[in-house]
Amino acid sequence: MSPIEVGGYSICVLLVLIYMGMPIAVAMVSVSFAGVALIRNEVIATRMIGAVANDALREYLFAVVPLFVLMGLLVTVSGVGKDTFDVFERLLKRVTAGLGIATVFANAVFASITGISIASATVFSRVAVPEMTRHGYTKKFATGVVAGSSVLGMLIPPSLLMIIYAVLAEESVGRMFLAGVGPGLLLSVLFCATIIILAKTRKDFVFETSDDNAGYVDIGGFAMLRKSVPIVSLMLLVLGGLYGGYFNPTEAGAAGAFGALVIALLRRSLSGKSFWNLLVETGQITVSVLFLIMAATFFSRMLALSGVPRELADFFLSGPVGPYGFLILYLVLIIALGCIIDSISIMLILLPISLPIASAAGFDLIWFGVLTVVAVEMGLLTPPFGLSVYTIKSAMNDPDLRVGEIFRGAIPFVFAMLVALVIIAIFPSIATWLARL
Amino acid sequence: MLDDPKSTDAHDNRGHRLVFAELIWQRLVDSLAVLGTVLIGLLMLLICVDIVARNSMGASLPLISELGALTVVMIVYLQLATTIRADRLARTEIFLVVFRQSYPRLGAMLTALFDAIGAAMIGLMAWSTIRIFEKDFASGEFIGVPGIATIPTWPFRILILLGLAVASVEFLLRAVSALRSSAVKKETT
Repeated sequence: MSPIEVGGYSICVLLVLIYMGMPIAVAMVSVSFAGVALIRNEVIATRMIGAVANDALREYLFAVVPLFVLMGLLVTVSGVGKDTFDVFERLLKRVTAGLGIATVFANAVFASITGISIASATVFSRVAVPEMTRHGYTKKFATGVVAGSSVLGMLIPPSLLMIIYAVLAEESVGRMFLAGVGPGLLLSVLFCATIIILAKTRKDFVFETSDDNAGYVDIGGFAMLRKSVPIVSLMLLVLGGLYGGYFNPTEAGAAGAFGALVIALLRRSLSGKSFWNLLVETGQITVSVLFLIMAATFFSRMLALSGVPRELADFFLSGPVGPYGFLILYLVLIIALGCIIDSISIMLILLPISLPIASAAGFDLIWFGVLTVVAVEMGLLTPPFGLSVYTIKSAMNDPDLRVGEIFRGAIPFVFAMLVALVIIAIFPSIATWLARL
Repeated sequence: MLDDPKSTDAHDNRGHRLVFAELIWQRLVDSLAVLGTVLIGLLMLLICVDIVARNSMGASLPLISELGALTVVMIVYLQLATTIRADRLARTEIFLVVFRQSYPRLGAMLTALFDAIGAAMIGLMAWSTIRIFEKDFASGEFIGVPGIATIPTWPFRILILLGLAVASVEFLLRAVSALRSSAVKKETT
């Protein structure tokens, strides 16, 4: 077999193995090992597997993964999310479907202190959904809003997906973070527009009862200020430190995790036991993410040996498909895969193949990354395996709430994301302007 | 089988030893995981101390970035076995879950096959890490700047090797227990 054939077959075998339910990292490593053994020989394959296992993860930057995950889990238990929601609820109580919009805004702000969407989904399903149902919103809509706006967590910096993309594409993490700001704001606005349109045209989708008699807890200006302090100081610490030039991304993660720990301790929402459990949980998420990154490194080295990416680039760019045809195919493929696999796995499987093509096509890789992340995030909301939806289901702990109902509630927001994707694809400067400043 | 009076004694004895071995093994996996968990907390503190040092004294502490990088590798491999045991490695659940419901035996055998491949691959990683360890040990590989602060890398290699070896055995044990459950299902059906 020629190297190209080996590479081509290994991609097919990989997809079959993943579909059959082999752990994705194991599938990638074994396919890559077999590929290298066939292209070169077993001795080289064995050396490569050892080298990758020892050195692929030996990067200071990867320390951000456990740190941002720990920070996300700490702010989840610390009650900062509830305070943020309270403030926006108070500010928006006179607006149509104000609680829905408050959820979006609170999520956008919360996103700037957490890099994982699971954290946002967990917090706001416990905070925002009960409040919305109390005010007569349907559960379908309430959970749909939470699911939709939780994706902002991965778009507005800091963001775990942006870090992973930056590593694979060899872009600067700081720039990738900045590139998420514009699209994150765009998406927030589109979400609010979706909510208002739904509230005006499809009242039964949004409201259970037509009149909302439930009272609002009135909080004064001072209380609002007090509730804003923790989240604003964490934001200042992480983003201010990062862009003020005091921290590199790894240090921003460490400082953020430490800050979140201090806030959780000050508010007495953390015991020694629960802190230990959070550390254990952090460890397991870290292992599954980084082990996958290691496997993807091996996979991309094998592909580079096989010459498949070069061949594919030739095929797509000089053939009838063209660069933009490739882009559309790529985004459709991501959204389709999003129905089956989690976000990080999709990126780690597809990017080794698609990045060489994208850079051969002369695409701005920052823009390409933002499109990738938005498309990947749509997968969080689409059935049958929308991760955010299942997170909400398990966080709510409500046997009457069906998963299908949450999925239906999230559909309008999936469309809003599709619109955002098209807008960003047509106007790249939404993503790149701030990053290239 | 269990009612056979002649074999109970020997069986019991073996069973006890097996349970004991399992307990020891579990302890080993757990303690590696605890070490990895502690390292996450240490990593956070280490980097915070470095930030303070750099922004107040103008100079970064020696070794931090290299040590941080190696710590990340430690965290992953020390906790790999416990992650495998908790079944937290990412995988799809479209096919296998349904398949296992309709064909329990074949499903268990497929699971065993996947676990065995995992054991083989991680075993290969461990195997080639031995060579890397020998090279590092013989040539005295170190991180840091000579004259200021250096740490030899071979102790880290040993921990990586240990983590990988334990993870590989954990996968193997899972494969064996999946096979055993497929055999049991054969007897009962």
